[in-house]
Amino acid sequence: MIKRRNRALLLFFLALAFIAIGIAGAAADAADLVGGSQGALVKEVQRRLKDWGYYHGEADGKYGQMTIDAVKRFQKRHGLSQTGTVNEKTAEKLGVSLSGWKPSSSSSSSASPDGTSSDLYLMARCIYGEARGEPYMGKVAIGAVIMNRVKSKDFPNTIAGVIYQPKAFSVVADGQINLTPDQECINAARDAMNGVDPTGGCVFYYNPNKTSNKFMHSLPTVITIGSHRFARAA
Amino acid sequence: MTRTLKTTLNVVAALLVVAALVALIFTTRAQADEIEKARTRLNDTCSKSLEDLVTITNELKNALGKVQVVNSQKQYTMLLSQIWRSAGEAVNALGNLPSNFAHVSEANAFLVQTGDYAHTLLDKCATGQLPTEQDRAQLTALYQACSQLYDKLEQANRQGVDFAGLIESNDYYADEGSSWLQLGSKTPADAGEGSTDAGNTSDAQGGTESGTGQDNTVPEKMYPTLIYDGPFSDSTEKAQPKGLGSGEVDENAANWKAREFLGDLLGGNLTYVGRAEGRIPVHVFSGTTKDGRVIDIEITVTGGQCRLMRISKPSEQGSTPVGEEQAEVDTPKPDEETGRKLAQIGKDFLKAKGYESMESTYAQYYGGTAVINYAFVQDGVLVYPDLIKVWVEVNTGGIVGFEANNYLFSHVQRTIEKPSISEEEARAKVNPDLTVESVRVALIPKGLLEEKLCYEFKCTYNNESYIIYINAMTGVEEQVYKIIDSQNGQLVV
Repeated sequence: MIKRRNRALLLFFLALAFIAIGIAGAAADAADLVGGSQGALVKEVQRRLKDWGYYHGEADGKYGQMTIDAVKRFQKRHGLSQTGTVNEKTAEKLGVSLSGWKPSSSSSSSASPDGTSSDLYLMARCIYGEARGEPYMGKVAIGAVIMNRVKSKDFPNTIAGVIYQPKAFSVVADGQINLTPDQECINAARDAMNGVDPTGGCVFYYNPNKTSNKFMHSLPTVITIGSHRFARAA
Repeated sequence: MTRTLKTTLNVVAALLVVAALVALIFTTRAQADEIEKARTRLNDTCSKSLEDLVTITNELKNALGKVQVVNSQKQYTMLLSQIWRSAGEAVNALGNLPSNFAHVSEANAFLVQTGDYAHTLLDKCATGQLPTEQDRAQLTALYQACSQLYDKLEQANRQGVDFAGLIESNDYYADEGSSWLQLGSKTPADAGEGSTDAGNTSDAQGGTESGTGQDNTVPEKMYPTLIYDGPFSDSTEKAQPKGLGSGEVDENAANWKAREFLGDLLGGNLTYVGRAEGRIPVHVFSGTTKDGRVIDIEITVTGGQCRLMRISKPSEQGSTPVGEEQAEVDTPKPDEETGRKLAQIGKDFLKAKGYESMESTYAQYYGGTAVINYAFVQDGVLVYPDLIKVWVEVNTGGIVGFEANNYLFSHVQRTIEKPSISEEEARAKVNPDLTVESVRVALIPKGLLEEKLCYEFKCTYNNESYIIYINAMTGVEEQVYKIIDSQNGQLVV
């Protein structure tokens, strides 16, 4: 009786150890998304697969069997080898980027002589990362905060400088800035660059449900749009 | 099952567990190595930026020192240019380092304003106006502040900063402890508590061992307050809107104003979102159109005018990713005839809202709409500061947006003087290589606070379009714009 329980325990640890290896392995290999991967990027992949009818589960950020099957169906449809893992080619077709620090492809592009269209796209990516679930004006508001920072003496004076300032935007830190934006975010960025500012000059915003930061909460709120509070410097 | 078989199974299982644990340790360690490498790279990049910042701040300090002692237009021009350039480079380098609003933003503001101020002086210098007594005193104050900043930076650089640690920490613009640059005034008494590795926490109060102050109690501002008019000056930041009109409106009156402004556009209820205390305080409302689109509208608390109105589709849950190339051509510029029609629709809308004398200038096209700029016209003079934007749907001609922030900021009843130089005299000032296509008189903004009456020459040069502004009073070439024709419309840069 005791021995049997011991063995059961042993097998349990064995299983646990293998799962641990699976997770550690997936995390160590930063390049591809595989079964067991987790995080915002997995969630984004699931969301896209769901939108396009390949995936029917929850977009929970956990790369399980349903996700593997969905990726295989997607790969079949796009003439890719059906590995069930998201490698670079599959990611490209999905419109997501695996590498955390993809240099902005447009910075060397000759199509934007004055840099404005690449700034626009960078801003759209930031808006998408920060506010893709928000109403349209909530998206424009993120772009407006970026523009207000560019115009403020307290922050860098270029759009890229403001967005990439370390610790300024969480989407830069966690890599969501590299997701491909949608048309709505691009339009929101254009509106913001055209001077639409529903925040009335704010340079800060935060989600009160997600941050307990004292500094943020101490700032006078100008307006709440969707789940973000917009604030001026105290 | 025999006893031996059981034992064997147990042994095999035990071995597997050991193997699995060993593998786990190895992957974990490999991971830790990767993380350590990434941290080192991050620290190296940040350290290089700090090193750059120290070097540039030193250059800036020296240029500010020299500018105190020169006396000719030539040397002022050279040194002010260097100050402007160095300050810009310093802002760039600082922007690569982890920011903490309390401290880094102060240094940022100092550098931005120093550059902006130098640029303002340079602008005057270009027409022969050398710095005044007040300017010279301010430059000296900047030199002293810059010397202190340099000492602080140099000290931080010498002691070394764990930038990666700061970046990894969860503080966001946060608590005193997480700053690597403790300067000036915003850190009162409690600065000591967070004993981080930022190095110089102890002297947050008055670390002025640098040359300037005999005064040891200096907890005042380390950076001087500058008096000048530039885009980043305090006077610009504090500028008050001039075109709001008078009288406060409450929620009810604003609701009525919003309904009046929207007219037929409003399809259902109008809900009060609240009062927003932005640069122009407004009452915010939201509603829907007849076809279920979202309306956002703001009515100014003072004057009860519409500052912003935008109609948008409700956000879709699943949307298609759009690549950068597609993003650029989403709504191509329509033919001239259509463009003119859309501009007329916007103009009629403005007229109906009481903006009688507006003229369309240029337009951009995106998201299925034309965004058309309208400037106020007084006695035939185009008044560019008084700008309103109207969004018109390309397919339907429906109004889907209105934005009047600039207009509300700057519109006043002006007395526009007669030009003191003739059109011919002004034309003679334009580069003779340009082909002048059209001329008119316009009032252009110089920062937020100043306006200049100019002859506006629309020109072409090597198949590219430019606008040259010649001051109608002095004949000075005030401003040059380049017009970029893209598939999305015109962009003025």
